[in-house]
Amino acid sequence: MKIIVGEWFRMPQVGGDIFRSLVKDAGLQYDKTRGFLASSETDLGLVTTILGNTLKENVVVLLKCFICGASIECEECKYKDACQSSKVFQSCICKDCDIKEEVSNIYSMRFTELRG
Amino acid sequence: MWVEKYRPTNPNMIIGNEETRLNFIRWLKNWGKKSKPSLILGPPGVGKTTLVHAVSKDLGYEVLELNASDVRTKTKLEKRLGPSRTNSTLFEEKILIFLDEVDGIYGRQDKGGIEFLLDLIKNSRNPIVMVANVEDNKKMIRLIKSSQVFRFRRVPPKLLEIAVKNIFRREGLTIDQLKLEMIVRDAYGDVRAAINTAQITSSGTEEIISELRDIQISPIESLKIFFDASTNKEAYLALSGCKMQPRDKVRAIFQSILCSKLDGEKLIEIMQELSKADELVAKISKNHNWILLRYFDRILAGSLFTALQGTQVRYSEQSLPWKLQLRIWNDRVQLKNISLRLAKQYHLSSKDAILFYLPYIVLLSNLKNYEKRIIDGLHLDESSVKVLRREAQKVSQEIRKG
Repeated sequence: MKIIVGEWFRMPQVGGDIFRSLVKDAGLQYDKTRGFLASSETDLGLVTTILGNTLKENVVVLLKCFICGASIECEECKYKDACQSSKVFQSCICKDCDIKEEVSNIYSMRFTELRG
Repeated sequence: MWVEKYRPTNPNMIIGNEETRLNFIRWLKNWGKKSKPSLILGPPGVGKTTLVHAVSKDLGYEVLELNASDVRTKTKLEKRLGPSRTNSTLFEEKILIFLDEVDGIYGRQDKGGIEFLLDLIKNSRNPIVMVANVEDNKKMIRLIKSSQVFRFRRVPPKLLEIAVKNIFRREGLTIDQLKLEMIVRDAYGDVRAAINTAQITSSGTEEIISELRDIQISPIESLKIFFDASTNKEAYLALSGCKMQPRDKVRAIFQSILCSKLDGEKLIEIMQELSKADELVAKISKNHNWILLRYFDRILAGSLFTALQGTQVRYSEQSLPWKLQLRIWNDRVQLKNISLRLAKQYHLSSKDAILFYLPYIVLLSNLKNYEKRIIDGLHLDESSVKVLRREAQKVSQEIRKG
């Protein structure tokens, strides 16, 4: 199962207790029509543990690239071990953007763009 | 210092926490007299203070800054901030009241400080921004409830790498990729620590890098990372990065474990491991052998990490269930009393009486003929008898369950 931070997703029925844990303890947002949303307030480590144990399948969390919006597989990152336990980032930078020469300026420009 | 030289003066130049940064800018832009004050929470070195100064400058605010941990009494706060309750200044500038480290305002000696702050929040005609590192102080709840909260997280390593690389480029220096990665890893999402370490590295004294790092993690965050850790080292770093008394670390972990759903055997295994660290703290404080404290975090992390593998133990702020609290605090006194009488009667050490003899006494008291003899022999009072019976009942239930 894949969860992209900042994008709504659906999951199979997990039962009341698990649902409560996901929403109350792990801070996953829920909306009847749209499903679930992992935001900056969500404890992603807890979400993956709960869902992994309940659904008996590997749960992968993907962050969005702040610059281009592409989803990023944390498993492929060289810093996987350095930030695995604090999966609470709002976004990250993908490989393609990372190698751009002016990535620092592009990042600032993207923020300026979003500020409007 | 590079940290000062490259401190962002524009909110667009800060790295990480993009959503929170945007929300904070929106808050200040749309601030009106009925708006709530803002409270920025987050670990050190992630750009909270920098953001406040940069956004204020950007939106044309003069910052009236006060470090709340230096000025904490009502009188002193009133003296410094009283005039700012009105918004009129000589040149009609826009004023932003910035209270840094508000978590430092709490404490017994600070009577009146928080009341003044809450009153200021209610009646201020200027935007108020408060910054704090921790949110686990229960007294902060009042402040959190009356404010618009912005939560800062640690900065992703990729962004740290980009920032450090950029500084090296601007300094006209080069850095070995391996060293760069080491700086980023060691910084643990703390931009300030990464830049400081980078500067030390550039001066050629990189051996002392990890010793000089100044990374502090809040107790909540530290415990969350500890329970989430995927390696022993990560668990150790989480514990060692938190300025919390060793005894408090044991208590917080103990509480979290008890509030988790664990099967009996696993619970015993984890508790046994935790007790090793607890014993160490007790020995250290008994013998005043404080130098041994340097090993505490390693022992705590090392002994618990393996035991916690595969469990769903998470940091829990919930206090223990009332029934359990009662049992720990109330029954403990009575059981100790029984053990002391037992020790006196049979010439035992109190430790032996508790560890080896008390369980048998509890078992024996289940038998009708023995119960009266035990009660009379040990001269137990009513409350001790009650606890003894309760313990005996529990033991027999467990035996029946098999």
